[in-house]
Amino acid sequence: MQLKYLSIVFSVAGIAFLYFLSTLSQPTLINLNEINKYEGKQVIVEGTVTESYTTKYDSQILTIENNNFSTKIFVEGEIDIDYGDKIQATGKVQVYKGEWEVVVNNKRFVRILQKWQNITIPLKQLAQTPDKYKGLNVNVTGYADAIYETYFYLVDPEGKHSIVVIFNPLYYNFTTNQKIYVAGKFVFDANNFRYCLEVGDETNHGIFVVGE
Amino acid sequence: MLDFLLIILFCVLGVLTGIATGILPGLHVNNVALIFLSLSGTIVASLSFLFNYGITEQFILILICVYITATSLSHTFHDTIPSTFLGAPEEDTALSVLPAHSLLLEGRGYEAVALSAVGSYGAVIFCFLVLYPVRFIVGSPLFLYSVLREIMVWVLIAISILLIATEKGRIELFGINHGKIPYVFGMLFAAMIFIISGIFGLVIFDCPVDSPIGLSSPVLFPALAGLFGLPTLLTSIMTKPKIPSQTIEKIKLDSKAKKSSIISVVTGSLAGILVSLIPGISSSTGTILAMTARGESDRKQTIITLSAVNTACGFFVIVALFVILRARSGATIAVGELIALEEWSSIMMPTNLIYLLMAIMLAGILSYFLTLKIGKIFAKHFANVPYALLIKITIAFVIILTYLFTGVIGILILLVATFIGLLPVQWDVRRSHCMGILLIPITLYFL
Repeated sequence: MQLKYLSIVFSVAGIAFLYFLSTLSQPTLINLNEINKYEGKQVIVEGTVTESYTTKYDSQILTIENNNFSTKIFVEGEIDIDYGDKIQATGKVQVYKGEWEVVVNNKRFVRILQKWQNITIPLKQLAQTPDKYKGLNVNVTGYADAIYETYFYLVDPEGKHSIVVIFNPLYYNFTTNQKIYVAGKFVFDANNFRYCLEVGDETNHGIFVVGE
Repeated sequence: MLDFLLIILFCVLGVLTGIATGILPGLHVNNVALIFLSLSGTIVASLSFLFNYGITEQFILILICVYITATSLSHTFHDTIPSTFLGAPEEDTALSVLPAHSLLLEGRGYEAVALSAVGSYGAVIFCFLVLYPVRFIVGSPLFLYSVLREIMVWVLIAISILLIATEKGRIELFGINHGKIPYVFGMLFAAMIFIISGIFGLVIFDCPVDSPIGLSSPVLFPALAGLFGLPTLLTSIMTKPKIPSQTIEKIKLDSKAKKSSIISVVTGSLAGILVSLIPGISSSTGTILAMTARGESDRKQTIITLSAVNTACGFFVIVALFVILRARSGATIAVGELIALEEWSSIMMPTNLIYLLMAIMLAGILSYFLTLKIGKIFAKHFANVPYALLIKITIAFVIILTYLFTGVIGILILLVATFIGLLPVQWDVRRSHCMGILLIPITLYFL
């Protein structure tokens, strides 16, 4: 057979073989602390979003955290994501300006495993591991106590833990001892040397009465 | 003063490296850039004695970028020499094979090289002159690039259709050798190569390439070397055209030809600027756009246009890095990793861009004269060059580099890519259809 016909046969057969090879090597789920072992390889990582910003040209850079380790995720494209969301990303590991990152070349390869609104965190858990949640959006359920002009105390059902919630009283109406659900950002208030919950103007922040 | 001298030194070294990458088919400037990127730490350490003279580590990184930029620009001048004399073009010069070769067969190979040098240097001057207008059009206040991004999928589809629809190759099948049917077969075959290359592109990005010596593993390296490098090298070994002795004369252009050449430089440069902004298209695609726009098919003008596209693209990928903050070539990826990219958003240019533009302008002048000089040497002595041996060494070099960068899987990708790359060569259609490898995945990404 002439080379011109053989080229067609080998091209098609070669692509089929490479496709077969690619199906054998799906990326593996790795822990964030072992990312340095996978430079140049496709991997799957999971974690909670602790930082997110969009570049001028619509790429997004996320920081995710899992088991006290964190890494950056560079996503080609913009995704609707909030601090505190649990995500899974598939991409290639590389070093950029001395830092490890996972480059995701299509936003379809970032999957939200759980929105932060769907995860309710007990106050006890926040009190025990505050660093894990610092800067994240969280949901907490408890009882309103000692309501002041711009803040109030949220106490857990056992009455053992409490936290200051900073809010805008114009938007919310509740009374002391009502059971409420607070969606806000868990931050460290350096001036008063304490953690608190900030209920801001974000659409997914709020205070909702759930019972007496 | 020392910093200025160092810039000149690194620029000259870059030009010399560009001669090597340009003349040796299969050795691409992007590979050199990636090698220097991985060696940057070692280079800074070995030049640390310069710290005593007030040269900072940051400035040494800028010098490496100057070197890569000069190599990149010099390459666009000198790659015309093998495509003229050795008949072994790289992908970027694929379209000039026929015009340059036909001049070679008439004993006017040097003229082809000289025309190419004129096209390339003309592009450097034109690009420098339109630097500010393009900056204001592409970036603020007109933001053409943002508009382009909005409609990128349609731009890419239109370019793909243009690429296939302008195919002029004839394929005689089923005994039909007259009328328009062979041209239709040519077009259909072009579409088939485009689609096969696209599927190949989609498949290889999931292939697990891995360097056996721990280098970064760019999967596109074996793919592009296979599609555009090896097929022509193999064909060059198989074909032994009878080439007459060459005459070396200064190019003579009458006033009409001069005017036509200026139009070629301008259209070629504008197409080159477009290529530097749109992902997934190559200089040969840019030449098709330019030739379609100007409707000129004269072989001399084709050579000038192609060279202008090639060099203008090499010029503006550097500028684009600072205006749209996007890397569109291996060389600019390396530059972007080595130095801080300050966006050029005001009248004043970022300092790092000024250094790189100095390198481009100096490399342009040096490369112009060196291309003419080396073209003369080739024209006089190329009959004595051990042509087949040179090509075999180049093939071995590409295979070794492929293995070192991408391992066994990379070799498999190179093999399959070579068979795909042989299709246009064997069936006599344009090789630029193989750009489907990038155009189809990128179009799907934007969809």
